[in-house]
Amino acid sequence: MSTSTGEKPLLRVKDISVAFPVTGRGIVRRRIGSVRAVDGVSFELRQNETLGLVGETGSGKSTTALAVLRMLDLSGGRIEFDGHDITRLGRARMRRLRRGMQMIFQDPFASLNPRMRIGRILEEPLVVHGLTGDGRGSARRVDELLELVGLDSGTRDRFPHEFSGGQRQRISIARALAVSPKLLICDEPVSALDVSIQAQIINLLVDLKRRTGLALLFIAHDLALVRHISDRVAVMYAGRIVELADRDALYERPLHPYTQALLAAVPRPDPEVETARGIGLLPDEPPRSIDPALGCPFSLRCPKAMDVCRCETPPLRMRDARAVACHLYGPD
Amino acid sequence: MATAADTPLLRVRDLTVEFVGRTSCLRAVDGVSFEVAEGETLAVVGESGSGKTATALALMRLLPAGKAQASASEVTFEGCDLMRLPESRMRELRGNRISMIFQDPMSAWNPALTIGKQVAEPIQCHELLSWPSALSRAEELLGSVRIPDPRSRSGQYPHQFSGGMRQRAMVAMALACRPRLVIADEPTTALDVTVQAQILNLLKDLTRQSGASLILVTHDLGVVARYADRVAIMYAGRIVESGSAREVYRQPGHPYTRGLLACVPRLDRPATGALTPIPGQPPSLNRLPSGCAFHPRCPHAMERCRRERPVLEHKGGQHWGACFVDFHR
Repeated sequence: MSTSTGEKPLLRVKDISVAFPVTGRGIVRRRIGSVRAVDGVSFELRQNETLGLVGETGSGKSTTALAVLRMLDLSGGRIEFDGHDITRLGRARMRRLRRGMQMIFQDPFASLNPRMRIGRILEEPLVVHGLTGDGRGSARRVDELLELVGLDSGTRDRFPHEFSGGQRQRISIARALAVSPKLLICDEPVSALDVSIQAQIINLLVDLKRRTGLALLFIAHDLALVRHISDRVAVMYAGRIVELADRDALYERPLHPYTQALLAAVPRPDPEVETARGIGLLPDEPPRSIDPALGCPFSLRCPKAMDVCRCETPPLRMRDARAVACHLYGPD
Repeated sequence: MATAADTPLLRVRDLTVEFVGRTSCLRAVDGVSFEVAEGETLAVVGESGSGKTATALALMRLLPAGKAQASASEVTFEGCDLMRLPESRMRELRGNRISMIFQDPMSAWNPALTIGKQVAEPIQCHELLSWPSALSRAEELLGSVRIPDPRSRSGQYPHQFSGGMRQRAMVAMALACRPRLVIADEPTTALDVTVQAQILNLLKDLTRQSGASLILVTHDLGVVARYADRVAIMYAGRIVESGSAREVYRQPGHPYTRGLLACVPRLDRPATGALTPIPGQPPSLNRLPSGCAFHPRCPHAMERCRRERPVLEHKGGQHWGACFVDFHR
């Protein structure tokens, strides 16, 4: 492929927005406004790189992922994938390109068809993308995939309900990798799994990335997990990226007050650390992203809010080799 | 009501819960014993299917009738044997001396009643107040859990509250009659991390003020470290290790506890290469391994572990463990 030089990003997301309509009550459900679930989000992702996307419920993480896959309509912005502008690509061409971008979902119980045997679940993407070749080829590919995710090839004739949550998530990963994508989007891939199983799946993803040069867009609310797996991390709040930095910079020296509060709120699994550590509690709760009032969306909860924060939305600016959207940090 | 200092508020001996199906019978809790002292926070930790929720429901006698059966040689709370209490007496205790906070702040509320009415209900029922005074007491309580503008908020319905606000109101309701024991079953699992910190701090402050004890059921090892005095680790329906939070975290004895603490990435340690997972899967209750239920996943399993089931033994201090392998290696 022409873009595998590592120079050009595999995915370039520029200033995208996604708005959902808000309808009125009553029978006619007239449209009375819109909610910006994602509001001017930009980032890049290279091959063999993992970008973590963190933020609370409603911050727009999953919507961003669906927008990248073009499973939602953009209301603004531009997405380039593998050298193509996919912002306005038609369905048929988008479908072909989507072979390069696959996704695994949070719930391994809802995301596998209960009536299909594992073999067919893994063959289906090959059929959809016309990669079956002769019948024997696809059977061999299914065995390869099962081995890749650490499942026995005898499992191909079984049904999803015969597997535990962790094994099902392995099947989801195998299905996503069937068409050899370049980008794998993982939306909370382990949050439905037991703690003792999560590490197995995370190690598998890290290993697959190393072996195949996959790029990962890793969405999770578990900050320790995101730190473990990511090269760079973007923090979202109310539909915007408020800070984006290299992993260590972000976790060792968070700049945005929201990133700081988020990291402080995570309890550490050590009673001695916890007794010694005070946490500044944030007032109130994440706002609904409806009606983005003027000003920084975090200013209502921010312990460091100034007058300017309530009337002017801070842009995402470069500062100390990272991007941060906060009035505390002026231009470099 | 005179409780000697060394008598625990709650003592549970050999609690067993079985779910009875048409053809089979699953033992979700298998001979669990523990105590909760006055004013203490005990965390019960385990993965799905470990029996932690069934234990909590059994204490409240809220297991589905006809489908599940609880038995125990002793469940003593404030001198009453909860297992043998008639249902009418149990109703007097529930929501009054013992109360419960559930995981899902949406489905635990009645969607058709205002929050204020639901918080007032146990007050009217147990404290025999008139309805108007119960309602105004409910408003006070909503204020005490820092719900802004409690007067107008108490007239709203659950769907008009955010998840965190619903859970705050749940805390208000649980503490309405000044219970001696609060059982919180994964109270913040559905919530964001900043909201989780608010709710748990609130719960901890309010129980500390009133001297109530707290049983905190959770799978989050960070939450345990921050809020619990003592911890009991459950696996496949049994307690495999218990002790003060400091003992268990500083010197985890059971290989399962060690595995749990080793397999989570941590913000308080440098980021490392690969995580150390616990191999295999948690067992399903209808196919429990022989001997120690953890032996197929245990790195130290010996022949004896396959044959015999270890019992919970005293290992020094407050530390107890159920393992044949040398506990403090």
